[in-house]
Amino acid sequence: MKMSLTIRMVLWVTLSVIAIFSAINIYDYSLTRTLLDQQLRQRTELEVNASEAQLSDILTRLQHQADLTAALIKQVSHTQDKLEAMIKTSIQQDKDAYGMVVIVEPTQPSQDEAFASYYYRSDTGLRFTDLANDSYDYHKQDWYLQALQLDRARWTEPYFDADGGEVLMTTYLVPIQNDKGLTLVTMDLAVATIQKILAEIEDSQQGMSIYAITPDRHIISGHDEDLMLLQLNEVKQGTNNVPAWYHQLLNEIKQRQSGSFSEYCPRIKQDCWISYTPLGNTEWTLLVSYSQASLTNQLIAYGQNKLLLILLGAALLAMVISAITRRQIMPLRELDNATQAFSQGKLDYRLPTPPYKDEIGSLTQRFGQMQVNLKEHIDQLKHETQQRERLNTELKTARQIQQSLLPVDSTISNNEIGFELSAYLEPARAVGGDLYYYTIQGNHLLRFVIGDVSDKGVAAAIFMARVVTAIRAIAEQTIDPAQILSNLNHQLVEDNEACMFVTLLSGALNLKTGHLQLASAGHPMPLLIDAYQNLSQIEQLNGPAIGLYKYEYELVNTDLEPSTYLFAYTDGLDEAANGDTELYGELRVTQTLSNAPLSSTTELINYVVNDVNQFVGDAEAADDLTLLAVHWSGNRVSQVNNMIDITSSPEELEKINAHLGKYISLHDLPEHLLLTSQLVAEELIANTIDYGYDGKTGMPITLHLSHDLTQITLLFVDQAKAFNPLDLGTARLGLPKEDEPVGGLGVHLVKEMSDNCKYEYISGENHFSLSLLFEPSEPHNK
Amino acid sequence: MSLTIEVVNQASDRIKMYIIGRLDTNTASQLEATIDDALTEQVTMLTLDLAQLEYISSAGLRVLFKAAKSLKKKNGHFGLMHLQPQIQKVLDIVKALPAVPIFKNEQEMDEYLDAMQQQVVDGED
Repeated sequence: MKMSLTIRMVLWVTLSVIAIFSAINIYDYSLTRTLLDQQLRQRTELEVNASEAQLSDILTRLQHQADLTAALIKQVSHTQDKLEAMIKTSIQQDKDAYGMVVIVEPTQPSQDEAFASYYYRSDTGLRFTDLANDSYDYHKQDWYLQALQLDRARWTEPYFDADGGEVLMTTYLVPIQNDKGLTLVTMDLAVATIQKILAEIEDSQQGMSIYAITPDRHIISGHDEDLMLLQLNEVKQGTNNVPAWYHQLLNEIKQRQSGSFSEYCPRIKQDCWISYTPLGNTEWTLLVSYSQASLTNQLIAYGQNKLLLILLGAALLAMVISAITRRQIMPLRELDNATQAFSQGKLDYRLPTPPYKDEIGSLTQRFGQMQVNLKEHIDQLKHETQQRERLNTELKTARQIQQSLLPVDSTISNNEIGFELSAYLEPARAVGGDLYYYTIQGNHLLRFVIGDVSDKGVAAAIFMARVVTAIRAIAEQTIDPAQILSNLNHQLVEDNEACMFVTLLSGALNLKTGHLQLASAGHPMPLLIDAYQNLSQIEQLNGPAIGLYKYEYELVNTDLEPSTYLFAYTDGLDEAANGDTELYGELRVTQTLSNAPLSSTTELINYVVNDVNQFVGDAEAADDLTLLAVHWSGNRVSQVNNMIDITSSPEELEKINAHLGKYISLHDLPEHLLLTSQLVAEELIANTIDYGYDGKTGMPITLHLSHDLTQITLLFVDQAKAFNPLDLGTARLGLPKEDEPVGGLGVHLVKEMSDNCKYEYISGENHFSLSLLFEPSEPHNK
Repeated sequence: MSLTIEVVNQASDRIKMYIIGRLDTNTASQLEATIDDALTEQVTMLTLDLAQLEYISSAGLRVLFKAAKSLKKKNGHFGLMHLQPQIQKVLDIVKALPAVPIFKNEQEMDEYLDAMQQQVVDGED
């Protein structure tokens, strides 16, 4: 299924928008991430600074309080009561202070009473304890022992003050050793207080952790019990995946430097920002770590939200585009429906009215114009088609009529007479100017005509009809092929305004003798193919084409050998052209005929037609094609012997008479020759018997017969003594006298009735020959 | 083709013969014999109707000449009737026509004979 324009618009625009915004988002993400990273770093540093201020404030204040108390004790001698009151006030004033101790141990016990007083916070308010009591024995406590070693004030590591403060605490020790003895002031700070402050600053949700590091680098965490009071060094020892930066960090803290860096933290398995700074002039250090994961998570969440928004926006955009496109292409759809209707032939389908004069409007308008033009064109085409069909019908009828002008059968044959004729006529167009005609006369004379009217098509066809009709009429009057042409020419020259002309070949074949008469009016003579398939040409004696000017055409005479094919054609054969405008040519004609099967004229014609069709291929036939083939077997010739032997007896004359009759009949010679030839034969043979053989019977006499178009020749041969009948002298004419011999009368008759009488005595034989002339036309035309 | 002769005695002195067929070397003698038999003393007029004669050769001509001569000898008359073209042609060639009267029909012959008889009567006068 094809996607509609709307769907494609929506799809592509939406996809493009999503792609563009995704790219922007990714870029934005990296930008934001960098920015946030920087902010995080700043924030970490700020946090450190803020926390440092708060913690160092407490520590410094408590230190200061202790230092101040110690200084006062050092300057002025105080009584126990005053000192106890002083520390009590100090604690009361500073809520961060957990407890305070004053220990005074004079070197000279007598001078002053030694004491160890301790005020500390409890749930019920300030409490006082005398540390010098037996149960506590502060001399054994770590912090005391530690203080003895100190040469300056210092915070202890966190410890649990059992029987003392009873909480986890760190204590600031201010020892004063002079000649008067030892004075020790301590200030307790509950670790819980530090923890509370840390916890307040910490923001675990943001991934921020804050740690206070004691002078001896114990960790105090507001939330992480695992890390609580762990030595930084111990962290290093406790885990086997300590990062490389850890050692560096330890050094920096030891040297009381501040700094910040971003590294991977194995503990939380995330990248994090770590910042550290010393807490004022105390020996404490503050350390802040900020997880970047939370930042990334935030970014991802932010990105996800943004992506969601983009998708939502894209969906909205898709709907909007869809709506707009649908609305915009509505005219186009209607136009599409209209074109579909057009394509189905509904040319009257009403075109939509376009709402705007935009491209679609222009398209619709032009389409409307096209619709009008198309309708007009189709109407015109219909009209023309009707006209053409009418013309085709007329041409079809014309073709039928033209076909009917040709002989009914394109093939005729007669085995008895021994001939076969086939013709083929294919006009280049519906009708053509080629023609052929044949007729069989008296079962012995085949007359044929093949012709080609100048030009092609209808004009040629009409002229062809005229020519054929005239030929049929003229053929009734004369059998002379040349005369037919002359007469036809005479008729057509008279009123040939159109200057049409026709080339014609006219022929007459005596089927008994094979004698062929031809006359040509500008038409090539036929080719002859003998029994051995050798081709030969007939003398080209051409007159002008018919219709040009008056002319008397001449005959060409030839005698066919038995089993000869005669092949006549129009120029549609040798001038047939293939797609490359190459002509078939006379050479191909002769080659094709040399290879053609000579089983029948039909086969011969079919072979030639196939060959020329193959040659022409798909090219358009240039000219009408007409072929005419005649096969003359010459069967009948063998039935007529040209000579007859008789013996010297008058009774034998019957045989001579019969033979002459047969010969004249078979060769279609004029009938009147029969009596004349019988007469001269009788006279000469009677003379030979009476004078040559002296009346002796049984002697041989031979008669040879031959003829051509105008004469029949009789040759008498006998073996009698040399005897020339012509020597018998001139007979006396008129009624002879009673005593006059009637001899010589016969010879006179012979001489009068024949021509070319000739006597020769050759090798002991008398040869007497004579000819009888006749007109080469129909007998009744004599 | 043979020869057939029909002899009609029109009167005691007049004979008419219909010659049918061919008059050639082989049949001439048949006609010759028939004429010899027919020409008795009192016959002075012999007419040959050649309407159905198809062929004549010099042998046939000789019989005609002989008959003409023998009638002329006794002052009789010899005539031919209904000559076919081919017969006419042969007679033309031997120029026998002027001596022998040729009749186109019976009436011509009767008129000729009447004229001859009148000559005889006039001659006797």
